[in-house]
Amino acid sequence: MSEPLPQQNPNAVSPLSEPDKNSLNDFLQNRITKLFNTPPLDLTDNDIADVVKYFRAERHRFKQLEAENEQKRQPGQRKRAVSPKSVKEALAQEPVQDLGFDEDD
Amino acid sequence: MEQITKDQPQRLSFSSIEPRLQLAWDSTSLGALKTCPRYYKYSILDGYVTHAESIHLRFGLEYHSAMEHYHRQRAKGIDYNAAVISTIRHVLNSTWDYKLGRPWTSDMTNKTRETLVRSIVWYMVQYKDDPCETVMLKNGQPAVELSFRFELGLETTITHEQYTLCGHIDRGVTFAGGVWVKDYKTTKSDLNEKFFDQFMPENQMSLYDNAGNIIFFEENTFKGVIIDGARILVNSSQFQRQTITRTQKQREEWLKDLLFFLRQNEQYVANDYWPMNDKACNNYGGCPYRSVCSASPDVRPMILKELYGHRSWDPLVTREI
Repeated sequence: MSEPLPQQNPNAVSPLSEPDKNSLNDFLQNRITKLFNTPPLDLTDNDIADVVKYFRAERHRFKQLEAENEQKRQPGQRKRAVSPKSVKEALAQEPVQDLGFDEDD
Repeated sequence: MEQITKDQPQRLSFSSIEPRLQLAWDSTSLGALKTCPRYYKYSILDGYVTHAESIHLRFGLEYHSAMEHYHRQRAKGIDYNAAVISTIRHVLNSTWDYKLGRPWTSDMTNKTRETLVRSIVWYMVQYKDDPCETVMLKNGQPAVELSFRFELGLETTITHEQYTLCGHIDRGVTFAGGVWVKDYKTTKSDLNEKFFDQFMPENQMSLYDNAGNIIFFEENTFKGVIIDGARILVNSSQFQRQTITRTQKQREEWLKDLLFFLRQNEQYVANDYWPMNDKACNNYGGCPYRSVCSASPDVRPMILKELYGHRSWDPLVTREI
């Protein structure tokens, strides 16, 4: 399964446009999906940083929803799992500019 | 049943005199033999693998490869953010099929390219300030994906060749004043006490513990194994670590038991027959060869040929994706 990779083109320019909407949902749909379907050698470091940003934001929202569920839990009640839908929905409401790369989650 | 013959390519871990006799044993092959001799024959000797197993294997290899890349970068003194970017680039590259011009696809919802990248990112966030530091070896290299091989001081009774133990340690780390062998485990299970209890006693961890005790013997501070567990679900990844230690007497006992299993395997080779342990068929959600063993012996070769893929397991060959 291992094969030598072609050399990365140092002049490669990201073919993807910057997100032009304010919500993370657009960011996710229009950018992350494209990034995942773009040959990695064509991705710039900024593209990769966006992938990292997205998953960090997803983790942050997941942890928040998990904490909210825990707060709502009655004594003796089983722990409720966070649904994938609720994470996506919560992320869709996040403005893109809130996704700092250097923040500590 | 298909036979290993002298016409097949020689595997480094097997005897050149008797190609069915394994000389270099890693935890996977030894674990297979201990579980069920027939399972060992199908999975290690013959190399039959199911589709589901190949996805688990690919995901696991990619996860390990990403961890290796990240910790090598960090050990070289590369800045955290740069190491993160470099690691994700490495994962995306490694899971892209350049021949077909598309990403690696998986039909297991919790083991996809996306859940892989997510898990690596979440891991690097959680352990940004990792209390476990990679051991630097005397040759200046970090103890990451460290291959080991040592002789057991035991000859086979069939060919009089030496037996060896071998494998790859994910990472050697310093933690709490000692040196530890770190092992990554991905799972769907809860990372609770029950999960960690399964590694004591357990074949693979006993082998790594013995190996770590030899590799890091000079430091005189070897403590044991740290299980670095990753629970990977469709919508989240969770991480938990736990230390596992063994006494010197427990290490010796494991090695003593090992010799009995190796002698037993020589009997299987001599008889060209690896018997079925039908008490192991339902372990861990069911053996992947259940459908084979539940059929009549005369139709098994056909089932194996039709329903299983093939891989060549050779512990002395470096782990590759």
